Amino acid sequence: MNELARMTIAAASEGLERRSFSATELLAAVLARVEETEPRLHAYARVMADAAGREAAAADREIVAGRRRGPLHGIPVAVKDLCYTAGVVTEAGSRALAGFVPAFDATVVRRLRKAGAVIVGKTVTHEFAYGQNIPVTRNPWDDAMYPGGSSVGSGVAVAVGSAMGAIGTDTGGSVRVPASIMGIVGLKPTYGRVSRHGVLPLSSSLDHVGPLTRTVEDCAIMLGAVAGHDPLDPVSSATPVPDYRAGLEDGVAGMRLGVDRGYYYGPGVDPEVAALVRDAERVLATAGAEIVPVAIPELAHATVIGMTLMQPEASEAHRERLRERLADYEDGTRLMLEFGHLIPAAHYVTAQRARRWFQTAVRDAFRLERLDALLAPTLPIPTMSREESVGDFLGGTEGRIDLSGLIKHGIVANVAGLPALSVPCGLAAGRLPVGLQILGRPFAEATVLRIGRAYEARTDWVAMRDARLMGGAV
Amino acid sequence: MRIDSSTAESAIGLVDAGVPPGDVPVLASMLRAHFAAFEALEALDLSGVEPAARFEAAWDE
Repeated sequence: MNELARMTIAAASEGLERRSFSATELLAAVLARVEETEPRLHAYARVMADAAGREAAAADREIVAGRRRGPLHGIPVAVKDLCYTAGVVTEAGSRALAGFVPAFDATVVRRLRKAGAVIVGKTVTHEFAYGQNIPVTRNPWDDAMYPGGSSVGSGVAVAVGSAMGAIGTDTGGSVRVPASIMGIVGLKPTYGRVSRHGVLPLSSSLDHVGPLTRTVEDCAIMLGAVAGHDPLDPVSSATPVPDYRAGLEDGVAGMRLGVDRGYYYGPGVDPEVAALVRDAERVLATAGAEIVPVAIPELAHATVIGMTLMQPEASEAHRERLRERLADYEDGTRLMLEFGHLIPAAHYVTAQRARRWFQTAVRDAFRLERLDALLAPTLPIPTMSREESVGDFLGGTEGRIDLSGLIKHGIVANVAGLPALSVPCGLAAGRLPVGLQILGRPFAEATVLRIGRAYEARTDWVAMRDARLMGGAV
Repeated sequence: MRIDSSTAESAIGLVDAGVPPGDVPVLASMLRAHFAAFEALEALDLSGVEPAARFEAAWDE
């Protein structure tokens, strides 16, 4: 495999700055990786090789002329096919959107372009990010297993080097789930931190946009490029954007990291997952953090609050299209979108009140215990078979293994709006990655990245993953 | 929980397009499961808690 495609964004950026290679050469390496892996993995809905070539050539001209824009300049990245791309078909994995060509770029795409990133292509998503169909994308770790979702193509592309970083969306875990299953890094930022303008909505009060990368530092680089206020997103925050790389290596000495074993280690949690995440706690304790047992009983209501908000909001977002293109939706998506209309309006309002109550409880726990972050498994299990990967969000029972069982760990951060990072923390059964989830205070992305980096720096999971997935055709 | 095609179509706004007949029993089952799960929220004391007109992640400091 071409060594350029194995590089992290940070390392490639340094190489471009030193002019050890060109953006055009870097893109060629990544496109070679696309050619090598796509026939089997199908991470991309659409590869934009020609446009990417022009963007890389333009980046080369600017860099040579001394007008380097920053660490993403000339870096090949991918975006989930839920994000509008001007003049490029955007279908969100659905026949109901077949042939749709947006007239403008989503803000997140526009910001990537402004930072000089090269857009390699659009990655596969579950239909409209709702998780109700089995995606075409395959798992490079184990072909029989679910590769994660809904940002499935973004996760796989980053893991195998057919993109150096990617954008995903997260309404109940859809950045962190594929990050965990692929053994990569994924961040759901604070609600309002990254604009959703031009991103097809699923559930407006729970939707987030975030990066998937191979390392924590790369995640900090991508977040820095796409974060910030956008008047085109009504919930966008004006909170200033810090330099997310600045304190990455400052470590965790003196930090207090909470663990709620009652919620995150209850029935249905795979013992190997639990053991690996506890090992990660020990690594962080060795690095100087204090592990603080906490009990936040309100967490038990996260899923019902989140789903009672998500389902009506999704149905509202799709109301017109559902009427016009009913037959073009996948069966499971259609049922979920029909169902959201049947939830009583009073239940939706109760869920909004419960959300406020939930958010207060989480805030109070952070304050009372003086926590810098919460630690948890990203998922209760490493992954599941492809056939089990269709969600049964309402029929699931405690301990059941299907997509709805995966949402319990992820949706806490969406309901509370908190930043949550997934970093790889080992392999279950010697072959299936497991993720450590780090949930922080609102707008404390720099803190969760610093914790993630402190863990990453003391382990070798990144090298192990690259050795497994970057070796050939996978 | 009983729903039929006409009530489902009316609620969903698919009076003209029509809900596929096979969806109706599935929707009824989903609705039963929702009501069962929702009991946990109904049991909460949310007195004095206002619904957020617009959700914001920032905490009151």
